[in-house]
Amino acid sequence: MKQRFRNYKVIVVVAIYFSSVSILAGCGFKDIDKRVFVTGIGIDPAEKLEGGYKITLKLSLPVASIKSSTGPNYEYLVYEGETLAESIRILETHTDKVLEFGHAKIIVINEDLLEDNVKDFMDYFIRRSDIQLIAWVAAAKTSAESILRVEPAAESAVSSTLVNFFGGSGSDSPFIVSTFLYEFRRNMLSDGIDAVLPLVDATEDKKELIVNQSLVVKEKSKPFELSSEQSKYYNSLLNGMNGFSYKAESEDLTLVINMEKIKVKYKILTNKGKPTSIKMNVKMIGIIGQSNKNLSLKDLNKYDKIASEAMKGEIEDFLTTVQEKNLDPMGFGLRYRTMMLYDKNTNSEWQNVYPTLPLEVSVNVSLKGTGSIE
Amino acid sequence: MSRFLYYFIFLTMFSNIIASVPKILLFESKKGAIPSMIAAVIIGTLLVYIIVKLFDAIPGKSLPEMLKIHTPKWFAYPVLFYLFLCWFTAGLITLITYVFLFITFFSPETSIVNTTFAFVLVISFGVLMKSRSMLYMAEIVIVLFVPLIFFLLIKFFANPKLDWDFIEISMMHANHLPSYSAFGAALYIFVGITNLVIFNKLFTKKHKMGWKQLLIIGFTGMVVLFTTYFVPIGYNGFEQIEDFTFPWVSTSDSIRMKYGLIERVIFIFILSFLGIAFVSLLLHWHVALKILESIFEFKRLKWKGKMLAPYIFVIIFVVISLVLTRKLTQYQLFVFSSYFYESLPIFFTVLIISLVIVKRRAKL
Repeated sequence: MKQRFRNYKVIVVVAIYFSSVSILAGCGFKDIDKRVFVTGIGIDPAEKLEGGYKITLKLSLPVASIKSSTGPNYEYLVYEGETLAESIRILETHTDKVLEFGHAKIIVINEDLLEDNVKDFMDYFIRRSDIQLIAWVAAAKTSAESILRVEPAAESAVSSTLVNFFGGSGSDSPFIVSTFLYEFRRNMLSDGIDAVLPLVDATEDKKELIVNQSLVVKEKSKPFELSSEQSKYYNSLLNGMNGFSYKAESEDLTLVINMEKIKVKYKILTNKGKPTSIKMNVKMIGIIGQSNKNLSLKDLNKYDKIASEAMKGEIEDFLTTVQEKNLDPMGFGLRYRTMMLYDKNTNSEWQNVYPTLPLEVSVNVSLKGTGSIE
Repeated sequence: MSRFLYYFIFLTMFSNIIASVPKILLFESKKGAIPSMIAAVIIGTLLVYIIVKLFDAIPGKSLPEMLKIHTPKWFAYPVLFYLFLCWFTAGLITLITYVFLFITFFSPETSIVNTTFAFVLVISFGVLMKSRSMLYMAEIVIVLFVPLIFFLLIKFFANPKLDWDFIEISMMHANHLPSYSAFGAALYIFVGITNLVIFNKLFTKKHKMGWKQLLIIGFTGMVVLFTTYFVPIGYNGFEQIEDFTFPWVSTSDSIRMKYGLIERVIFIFILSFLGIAFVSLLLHWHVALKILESIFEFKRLKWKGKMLAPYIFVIIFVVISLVLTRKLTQYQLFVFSSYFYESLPIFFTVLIISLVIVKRRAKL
């Protein structure tokens, strides 16, 4: 019995030895100290090369401990090349470590590039499986590189200011439009909706970042810049983003309203399958944040009316501006396409009608109170 | 109906997301995927009903045993071999797709051989387990992972970024003729029940199969197909959805858990489906192995009272999967799995016919 047991053991040990040889042949993993994390990617048009790109990678340098470090440490890699993939391959030779893209949370694109070759470089990001589809995409005024290079004094170690602007995890404001990579791709490539990107600007001394405008991006047309007011209405209508300072004015009264809740419903009215108008119903709930006069709680209904009128004007202004440019950030075209069985003419039909389609907006503001003073 | 039958059905249903089913369905999205899915749910539920009813007639016996006793050799062996091929391919497709997915998204630097080898090593130990332990393992994995999958599903559906307009647009494509390859792919989710071919040995009681059970299966199938097909469209748009190689993994990467332990849902997704896919794979290969054993009985291949045949078969399985994962390209895999899914109606027909024959002969 004992003899048999020993034989068995020998065979098992030999088998383990042999099988481990095949595993030992090559270790594919690289340790974390051989990796460097890319936290941001910037794309600009190349300065020297015709039709090329200038890539900026923001690398986060490791710190020994968060407590002892004085601030964030970054390194920037910049290279100009004909394609994105090629430039990044070359940039891999500019550092001794492996570039790890799994933590790239922000992609900044120069606004000049958004006109016609978006598809070209967007393809690279989607194809590369290690870049998150939940990375934020932003457009940069003047240059993506200079935006990435801004290091605000308020920035803490192991964090990135630019990322905190988006998604409501840091700054939370209706002026800031946040767009995921997958969302940008989806809206840009689909018929009936146009993608909107936040537009990032820096202060003149390159110390602080400003994000309150946005761009409507449509393939093969110049991106249209939304002012900060328009961005706010876009955000409120589409994303239900609420927040502060919606201004309402009547003859002698100026109110600033803090919105708590915004509900938007819209439908496209049709007659015999042809779209006739867009009907939008907006419900807002809020309180008064500031006024130039003493208010009285009894008159809330009156203020409701004033606010409704003012909001209606603003929303109509935003919608007609984009409509005149034949842009559709709200996705009215999508809604129209959901209304009938598939037919290949639906889309071109919509495209013809949309720029002149009448809009009917009705806004219903209900104010809950006047804050802590009357 | 014994709870284990539900496990068979549900495991295959859930693991379809990891196999090539969503890819094929979405590839056919503009060519009649929706009518095919509706047809598949109705026919699939019926098939489940028929198969359970037929197995009721032969309690406590596996199909290979029955075939060998009651049918002539020229009939029994080819049928068994065909069934073996189907089960082996079903497992192989899940395995190869998963390996591809794993090295694309999880560890691109590890070589494909290492990854496959690591998977296959675990699987081959599992495949050799006793049938009864297999059932208990299925139960444990279901209990562990299904809550996680439900949590993920809630995340997928509750996210405001899921654009229902795109889903509605895709529904507007219902006015196409059903597509055969989409039908085959959708039918795959009902394949799980056929594991009874071997596991029937363990069930000696009659299965209760009434309206209630049928409704549960049909309804779950519908929900699973709905999720498989429409959620990727809602996240990635309708026009370009067929471009994705792994539509579901890309979709899971579109979810962000703002305050979660891990921000990217993709890792939780891949790991929880790893569990589900493994068990579904184990069940398929276990059945494949048992059928193969019943065909080739090498009674003389014994070592210290132990049959060596199963070990040899498993080594063959391992070698085939190692070679194929190295050789196949993603396109070939796609075509290969399309053919497999398209052959499923034949598979069901063969199975049902042989069951009917067994039933008739047994009563004679």
